[in-house]
Amino acid sequence: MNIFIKLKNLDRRWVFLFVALSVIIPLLFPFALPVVPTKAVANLHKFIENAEALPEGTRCFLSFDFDPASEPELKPSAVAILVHMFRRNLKPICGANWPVGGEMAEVALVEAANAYMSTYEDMKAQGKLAPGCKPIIERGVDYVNLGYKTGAIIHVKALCNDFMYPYPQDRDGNSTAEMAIFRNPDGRRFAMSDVGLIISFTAGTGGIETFISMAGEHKRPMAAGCTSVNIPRFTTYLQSGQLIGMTGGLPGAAEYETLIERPGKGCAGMTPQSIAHLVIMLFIIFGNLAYIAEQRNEAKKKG
Amino acid sequence: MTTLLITTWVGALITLCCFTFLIKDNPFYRFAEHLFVGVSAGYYLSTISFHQVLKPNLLAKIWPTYFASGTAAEATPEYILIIPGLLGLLMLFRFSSNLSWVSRFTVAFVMGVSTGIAVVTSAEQYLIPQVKKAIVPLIVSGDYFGSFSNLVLVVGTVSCLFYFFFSTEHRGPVFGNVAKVGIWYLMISFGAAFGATVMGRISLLIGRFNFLLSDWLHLIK
Repeated sequence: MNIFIKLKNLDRRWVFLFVALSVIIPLLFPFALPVVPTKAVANLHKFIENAEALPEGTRCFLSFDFDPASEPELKPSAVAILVHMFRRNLKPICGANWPVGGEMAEVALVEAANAYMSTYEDMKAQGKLAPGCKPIIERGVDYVNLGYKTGAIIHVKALCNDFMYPYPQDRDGNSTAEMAIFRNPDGRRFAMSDVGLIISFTAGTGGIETFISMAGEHKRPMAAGCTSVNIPRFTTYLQSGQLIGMTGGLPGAAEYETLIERPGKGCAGMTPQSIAHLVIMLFIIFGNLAYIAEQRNEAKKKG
Repeated sequence: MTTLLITTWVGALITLCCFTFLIKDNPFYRFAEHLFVGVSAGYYLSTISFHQVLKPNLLAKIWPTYFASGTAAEATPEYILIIPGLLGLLMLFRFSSNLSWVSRFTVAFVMGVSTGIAVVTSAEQYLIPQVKKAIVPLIVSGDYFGSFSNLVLVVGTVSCLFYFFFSTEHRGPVFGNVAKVGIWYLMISFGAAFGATVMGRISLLIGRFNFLLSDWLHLIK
């Protein structure tokens, strides 16, 4: 019993050290733990894989509603989904409701485009690419990064009518009116109704909920990539059918990477994540045992 | 290559400065904190606000020949946008203690538009779909798990709503017990939220150590 009481007074810096070691050691000496995709992630993968729901060439809107503080959680799933879209010959249009979202989108797009182009021949040989896939993908034709726009719900409402008005230029200042990706065969202005799927990588407010708010107007299928903190909140939208799928935190990214058979930072993070969870669970158990032991000691003293 | 090397070293040193806070508050941590605030404010004002919002959405539309590119440079100027531009400028009156009331016109406009949209969308997209999903049959024939799941959902919804009904004291066999069930549901949801938060924080820590061990020290691939 005394050992538990001593543990209760353990300096919190020892806890920090143990948690740090539980992350560093599995990163330095990696070993694989199985990653089993959940229904929410599998549904999103299935929807993007479905050629009837999203025929080749379909444009999808990806909103990067996070900043560097949430990058380790959300970028891996964004990269995995972008790679999957490139393999399916879908055209991602990236925007942002968060100020640094455009920068986050740029990093993810560059990584995903490089990953797609560097593995093009191998993937083609294995028959894992859509028939219309090209070895080199071009900005403004196959994908675009529009950057950040202020306004949240009002901004999304504007996108429902006309993409070009809130986004006359992309993030780099190129005129969007001349871009092939926004051209409609019948000459109509490009609007949200031309988008096959909306995905928001959400770190907090102003993410997927702005698109859900406007769902009555755009009527497009929606999915989310969210931080772990938001998983309980967004699960309600999954249950109500407002979201077709969701990747939650780093585990969600690992599940998506497993489904597209491209292990990345999500899969690499699962071993340290599991070990760190075990260490924290042990500390919680020891903390509670120490608390019970202390209560008993006090009761004995009084008795 | 040199730029990448410098940014990696700066990133690594700033990360270590932040980690020093775990030992105790110190000048290295405060340096990193102040640097972050300053750089964020400058970056947000110049690169983001001006180049991604103000220039393409206001200046390029009022003076296309000067600020727009491509075919947009030949577009007809939209002078109507001077009105929202002026409304935006009114916000600067907040810096004056005597004239700060002028900025209220802009705030009132934004509040009016946002509230108008939010009232409709909140009911349409949040309240109704969630209530609709909570109206489920308690017995699903041949599906025991489905029946149990629906029962948990309905009992949880009703008891939690009961708990937040403060006009009646939570006492007695009905009010007291149902509110207690509501507390249990809330506690379980707080536990789930706490677990998810821990998971998120560990993921962020993994991200930082990944950066330090791979990009900076090249110890892992």
